[in-house]
Amino acid sequence: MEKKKVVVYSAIWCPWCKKAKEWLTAQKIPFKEVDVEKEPKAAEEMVKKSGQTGIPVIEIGDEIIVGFDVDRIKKALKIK
Amino acid sequence: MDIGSVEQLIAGSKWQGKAAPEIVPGLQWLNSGPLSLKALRGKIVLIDFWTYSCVNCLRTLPHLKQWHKKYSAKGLVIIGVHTPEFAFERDQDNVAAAVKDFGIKYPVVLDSDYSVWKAWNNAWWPRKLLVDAKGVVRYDHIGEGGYDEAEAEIIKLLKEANPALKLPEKEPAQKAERGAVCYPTTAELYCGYSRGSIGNREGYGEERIAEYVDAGQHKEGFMYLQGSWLAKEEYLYHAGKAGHIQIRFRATTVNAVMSADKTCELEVTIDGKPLTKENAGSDVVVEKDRSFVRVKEPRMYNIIRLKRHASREVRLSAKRSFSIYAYTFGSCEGLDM
Repeated sequence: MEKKKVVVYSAIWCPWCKKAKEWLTAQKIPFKEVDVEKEPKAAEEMVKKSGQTGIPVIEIGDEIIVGFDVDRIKKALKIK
Repeated sequence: MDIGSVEQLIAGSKWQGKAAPEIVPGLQWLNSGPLSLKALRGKIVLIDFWTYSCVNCLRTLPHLKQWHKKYSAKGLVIIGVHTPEFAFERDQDNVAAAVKDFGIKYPVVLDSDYSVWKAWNNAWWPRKLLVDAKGVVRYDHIGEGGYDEAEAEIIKLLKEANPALKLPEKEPAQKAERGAVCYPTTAELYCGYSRGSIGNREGYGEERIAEYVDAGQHKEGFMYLQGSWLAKEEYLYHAGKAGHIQIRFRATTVNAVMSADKTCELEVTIDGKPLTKENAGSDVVVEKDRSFVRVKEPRMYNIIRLKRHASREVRLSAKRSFSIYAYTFGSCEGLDM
């Protein structure tokens, strides 16, 4: 598996963020978590990168995935 | 209170590693005779603090029902501790009807005087706690979510209590699709004067019927009234004749906790138009040129389900009396409530 840096932009009230983080943990994929409500600068960055305000936003290498989209995450990580 | 201090408060209130306090005797039970944790030693007990009109609790129910089905024969006992938020949730008949409607088969204890809540020093709905075979709390989760983590802990504790146990396969994590996104959303709106905010210039007429005029400019986070309304501590009572309550919201779904002495048909509009099958909630009847919800028993009614998160206005209009306690909102696309 190719190693790419994974960042999850999330917030504590967001159920899809929880599911995304649980899924990544279950797959043993390390990720950095950014709470967009605690880190307004990171939140701005996320909006710039993704062009919208919804979460989770999952950054895998250069790719930006909006929402918990298992197929796209797998493709970006090149896992089955 | 900022999020940091909330987190510190939560961390300080967690029960992991501590002996579970006994369930106060003498309370009413549904689906079971009275249970005690002492008598349940050897079993794994899941305590769920809930109340039947709370949307966050209702979102947790499908998981609890599934675990009851899968693990009750293997040594898991789920106890729903029903601690009421609103006065009507203290009524045993109302809770019994809700337990039946939701298809809850596990034991539910009516904590109407908050004795179990206080013994656990609780402050949150919902809250899931797992007690091991020796009576020690091993898992404590505040709020929705953490379902995979909780199920893994149930399996671990069941196996710990009985290593020879054969368990059904754990369901794979829910398959998500494009559109599984959440957005900043309008916060829960309480309607009574103790916690609510009216946008009308008249303000609350506490404990008296007042006449309101909806001037038509609506800010998010406030309720706007038209007609005769009585403001009570917990709710707003529409005192008959023609009137409405309108709010501006940002959400995917809108629920309202309501009741009526006699069935009341509330006309529902979104941005001035009747709902359609595409945006009506599960409690709304859609007919040609009108949409309405029939309100009677006190409970949460699902009013609106949008496919996409949006800022809209919803108006509930009635010609009869009804009470409204709270609005709750869903923040996510791809989820039902």
